[in-house]
Amino acid sequence: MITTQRPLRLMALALTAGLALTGCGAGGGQAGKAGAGGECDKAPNYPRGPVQLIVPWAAGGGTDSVARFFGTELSKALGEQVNVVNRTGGGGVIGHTAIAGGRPDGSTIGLATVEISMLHWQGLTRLDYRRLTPVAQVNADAAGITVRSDAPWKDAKDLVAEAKESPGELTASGTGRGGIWDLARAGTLLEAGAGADAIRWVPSEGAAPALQELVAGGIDISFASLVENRTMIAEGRVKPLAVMAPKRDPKFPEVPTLKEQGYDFETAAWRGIVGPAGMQQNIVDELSCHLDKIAHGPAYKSFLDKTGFGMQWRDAAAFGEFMKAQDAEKGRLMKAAGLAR
Amino acid sequence: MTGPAAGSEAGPGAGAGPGAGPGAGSGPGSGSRAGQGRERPGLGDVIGGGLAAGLGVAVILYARGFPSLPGGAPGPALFPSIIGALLAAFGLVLVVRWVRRDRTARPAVDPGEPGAPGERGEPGESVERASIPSRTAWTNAAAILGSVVLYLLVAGILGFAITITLLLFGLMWRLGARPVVAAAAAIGTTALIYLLFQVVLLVPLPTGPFG
Amino acid sequence: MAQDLGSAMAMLADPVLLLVMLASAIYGLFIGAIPGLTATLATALLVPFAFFLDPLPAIASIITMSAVAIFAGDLPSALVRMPGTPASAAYTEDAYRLTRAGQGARVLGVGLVGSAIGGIAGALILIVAAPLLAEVALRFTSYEYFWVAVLGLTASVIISRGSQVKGAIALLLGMFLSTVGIDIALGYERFTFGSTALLQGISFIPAMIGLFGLSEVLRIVMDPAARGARVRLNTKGMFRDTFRTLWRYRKGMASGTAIGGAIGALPGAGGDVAAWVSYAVAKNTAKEGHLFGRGKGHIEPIVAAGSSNNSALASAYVPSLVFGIPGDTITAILIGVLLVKGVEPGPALFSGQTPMLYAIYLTFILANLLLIPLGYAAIRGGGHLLRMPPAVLVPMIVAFCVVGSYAINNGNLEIVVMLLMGVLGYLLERGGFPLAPMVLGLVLGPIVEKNFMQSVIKTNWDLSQFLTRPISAILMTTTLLVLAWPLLRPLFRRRTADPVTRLE
Repeated sequence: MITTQRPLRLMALALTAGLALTGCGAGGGQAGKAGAGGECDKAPNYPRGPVQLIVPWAAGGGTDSVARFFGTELSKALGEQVNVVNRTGGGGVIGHTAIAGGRPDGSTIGLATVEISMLHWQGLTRLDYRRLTPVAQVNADAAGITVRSDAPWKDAKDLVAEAKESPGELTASGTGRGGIWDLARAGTLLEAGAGADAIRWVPSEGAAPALQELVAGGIDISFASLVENRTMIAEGRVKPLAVMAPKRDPKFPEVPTLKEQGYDFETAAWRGIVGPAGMQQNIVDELSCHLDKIAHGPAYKSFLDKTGFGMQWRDAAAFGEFMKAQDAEKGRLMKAAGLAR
Repeated sequence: MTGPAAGSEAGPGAGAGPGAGPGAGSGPGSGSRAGQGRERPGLGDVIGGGLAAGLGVAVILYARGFPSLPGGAPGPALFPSIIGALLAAFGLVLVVRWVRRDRTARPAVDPGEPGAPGERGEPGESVERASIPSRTAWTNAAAILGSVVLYLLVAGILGFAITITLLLFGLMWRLGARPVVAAAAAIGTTALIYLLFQVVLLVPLPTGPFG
Repeated sequence: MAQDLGSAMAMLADPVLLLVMLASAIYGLFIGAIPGLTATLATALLVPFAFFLDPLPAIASIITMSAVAIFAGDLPSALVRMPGTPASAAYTEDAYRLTRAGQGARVLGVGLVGSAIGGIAGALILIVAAPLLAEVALRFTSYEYFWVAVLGLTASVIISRGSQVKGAIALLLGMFLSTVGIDIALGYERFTFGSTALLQGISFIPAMIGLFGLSEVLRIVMDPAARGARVRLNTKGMFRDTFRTLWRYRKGMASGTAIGGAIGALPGAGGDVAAWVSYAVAKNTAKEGHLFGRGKGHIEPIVAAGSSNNSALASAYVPSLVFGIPGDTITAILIGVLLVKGVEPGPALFSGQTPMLYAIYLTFILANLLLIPLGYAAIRGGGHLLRMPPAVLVPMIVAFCVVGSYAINNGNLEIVVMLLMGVLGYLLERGGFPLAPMVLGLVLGPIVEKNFMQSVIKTNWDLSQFLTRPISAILMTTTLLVLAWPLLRPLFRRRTADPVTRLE
C-alpha cells in the first residue's frame, strides 16, 4: 500500500514545487495590507477571510480577464486572498444568481455585466439589479457596426437605407437572440424609423463566431463592439461603420459615432463590481475606495491598452443610478423590439 | 497473446460481425458484456426500448408548448421534436423485435448477461460471465452512490476536507480495505486533492468550521 | 527566417521557461491520467497561473500541459477502461481489451510515441500551412459546420459496434440531453421545468465523467469478477515493439495525423472529434476493421486516433494564432490569456512578432519531445495503479469524479449531473446500449442544431444552400460516402485474403 502511494505523492510534490515556483509572482503581492490601504480602510474588520469574486462568464473570456485583473489588484489592496470563481451558464443567469445568493458581508462579490438588466425582461429569471449592491463600474465597450471590407455601404446611413428599402434581407449577428448586440441592432433600427426586424438577427454564441460568419460571408453585419472585431479590422477584412458611444473611441479615431451620422442611439456592454443586496455601507465604501485607486492607476491603463477594453468609471452611488436607468431603458427597448416576455 | 481471451472471442465477434448487419456485435463496452454476436433481444431491449419510446413521445408533447420563430417557422421545438420522434421510432423497433423474438433464440435474462453459454466464456473477459449481482454488490453500489449524495448534502456544512475524508474512509472500509489502510489512504487522498485543487489551483472547495 | 529562429531559440533557453514547461508537463500527466479530470479542466485551472507568467511561459505551460494530458488520458483507458480525457474515448475499448490480453505496454508505447509523432507532425503542419489552412477554415459558415457535425454523427454510427438501433438510441439520448437549457434560436428555456440551475444545460464534461468514470466504478463493484486477473505491464522491449508496430501501420498513422491536422484547424473542433473521425476512417479502410473494438481489441485504431488527437491539438492553434478564432476549448482559453499578456493573436503576430511565433512552434516540438521520457515514466508508474487494491482505488476515483465535476463550474449541479449520468450509464450498459454515441450526441447535438438554425434563419428556410455551396457539397458527399462505404467497399477490395491470417 505504502509503495503504491509513493509515486503519486512524489508526483504531487514535484507538481507543487514546480507550480509554486512559477506562481511566486502571485504570492508576492499579498504580504499584508499595503500602505495605501490606510485611507481606504473604512471597514476595519473587513475582510476577515478570503474574498470570492464571482464571474458569470467563462475562464479566459473578456469578463474573466477584467475580473482577474481586479482580483489581483484588490488582493494587494486588501491584504487578503481574492479568488476569482467562474460560474457560467444560462446566458449569465447562473453567475449573477450566485452573486446575489452570497452572504452580504463582503466575502462574496462579483463582476456584474450588462445582462443583469436584460435577463429578467427575457423571462429567464426574476433576478434584477435590486438584488445586488452596486460597488463600482469599471468598464464599458460600446456597440459597433462592422461590415465586410468589400461591402457596398460607406456609412451607417447607407446601411439603414438599404435595410429600409428591402426589410428582412440583411442579416446580422454578434450574440444570441435578445443579447446585448441584438439590442444594439434593434435600437439602431427603431431610432432610424425602420422596423425592428428590418435586419434579421442570426443568433450566435458570441462575437468571435459572428466575426467568423461575417468574414466567411454568412452574414452581412456584426453589431459587436469594435474591440471584439479588432483583429479583422486591423487586417482589413472588415470595416467599422459606426460606434454607438457618446464620443469616438480613441482606439478607432476614424470611426464616427452613430449620433454623428444622425441616429441618436448609444448602447454598450458594461461591467462593474457588485455584491449581494444588503451589504454594509462601510464595506462598500472600502471596496469602492480601493477600486477607484486601481481603476485610475497605471496598471489598469496598461491592461486596457493591451486588451482594448474601454474605461468607464462610476462610483457606488452613480453605478446604482446607472443600473436602475439601464434596467428601465433595456426594458423599454426590448418590449419595443418584441424581445421581452 | 498471453490472455486466455485470445482466440475465443475473435470467433463469434469476427464471424458474426460483418454478416449480421445491424445486429453485429454490440455496444462499446457492452460489446463484451453483451457479447451477443447475433442480436438476441432480451429484457434490456424491451425495457430500454419502451423507455426510449416513452421519452420520445413525452419530449414531442412537451415541445409543443415551445414558441415558434417570428413568422411561424419552427424554432426551439424543431430539434427536440425530431429527436423525440426518432427516439420513439427506434424504441418501438426494439420492443417489436423483442415481441417477435422467441422463434429463433433462447430467452436471455438480459443481453448484458451470459444469455447463451458456450458462445462466450472467455475467462479473461470475465464481464461475459457476469452473474446476477450479489447482495453485497448491491450494497456496495448503493454505498458509492449514497456517499456522493451525502457529499452533496454535508460538504457545505462540514467542509470539504472532513466530509471527503470520512466518506473515503467509510467507502474503502466498506469495500474491504483494512481500517488502517483505509484511514491512511483516505487521509492521503484528501490531502492530495486539497493540495492540488485548493492550494495550487485555487478552486474554492467548500469550507467548514475547521477549514 | 534563420535569424528569427535564432532569437526564438534564445527565448527558449530561459531556465524559468524550461522549469515552467517541466512543471506543466507533470501537471498535465497527473490530471490527464486521473479519470474524471480532463485536459480542458486542467487548462481552465491553469488560467490563474498563466496570468502571472510572461507571455511565452504562459503559452508554453498551456501547450505542454495539454499535449501531455492528451496522452496521459490513454493510461486509464488502457488500465481501467476509463478514458482520462474525451480525446481517448474513441479507442478506450481497444486499448483496454489489448491490455487485458497482455499487450498493455505495447498499447501505451504506441499511444505515447504515436502522440509525440502526431504532435510534432501537427506542429509542422502549423508551421508550414498555418496561413493556408486558416484561409480555408475561414470560408466555413454555418452550412459547412453543420455538415462537419453531421459527419461526426455518422462516425458514431460506424464506431458503434453494437446493435445499431441501440447505438442510435444512445446517440439520440445524448442529443436530447444537449437540448436542455437556453435554446439558440430564441433564447427560450427548454426542459428546465422552472429550475434556474438547469438553465445552463447538461454540461458535457461532468456528463462524460459520470458516463465513463462513475458508471465503470459501479460496474466494478456490481461485478467484482470483472476485475479478473491482475494485468501486468511488461515494459521490457516496449520501444522496439512500439516502433515496429508504428512502422507496420504507418499508413494509418499518416492518415490519422492528416485528419487530425485538418479537423484541428477547423474552429471549434478539437482532438476529441479528430479521434472519433480517425477511428471511423481507420475502421472503414483497414483490412481488419471488423476486428476493432471487439475480441482482444486492435492496435491499428490506437495508432491512427492516438496520433490524430495530438496532431489536432497542434493544428487547433492555426485559426487561434492567425485570426484569434479558437480552434478548440483549450485554445479558446489560451486566446483570453494571450490578450491579457499583450500578445494579440492575428496577422500582427505573423508580421511583427515573428520570433515569438517561432518560439511557440518550437515549444510545441519541445513539449512533444518532453512527452516521451515523462510518458515512459508514467507508463512504468501505471503498473502501480493496477496493483492498488480496488477497495482503495474505487473510492479514490469516486472522489476525483466528484471534485473534477465540481471544479468545472464551482457548483454542485455538475456533481448531480455526474451522479445521474453515472447511474444512467451503468443501466444503459446493462441493457446493452453503447455509451460512446451518447457522448458524441452531447457534444455534436448542439453544434448540429445551432448551425442548422443559424443557416435557415439566415436564408429564410432556403435549404438549397446546404447543397449548393461548394465546400458544403463536398462535405455532404463525404458524409454520404462514409455512410455508404461499407456497401461500396467490396467493390474496391483487390484481394480477399483472410483477414485473420494478418492477426498477430
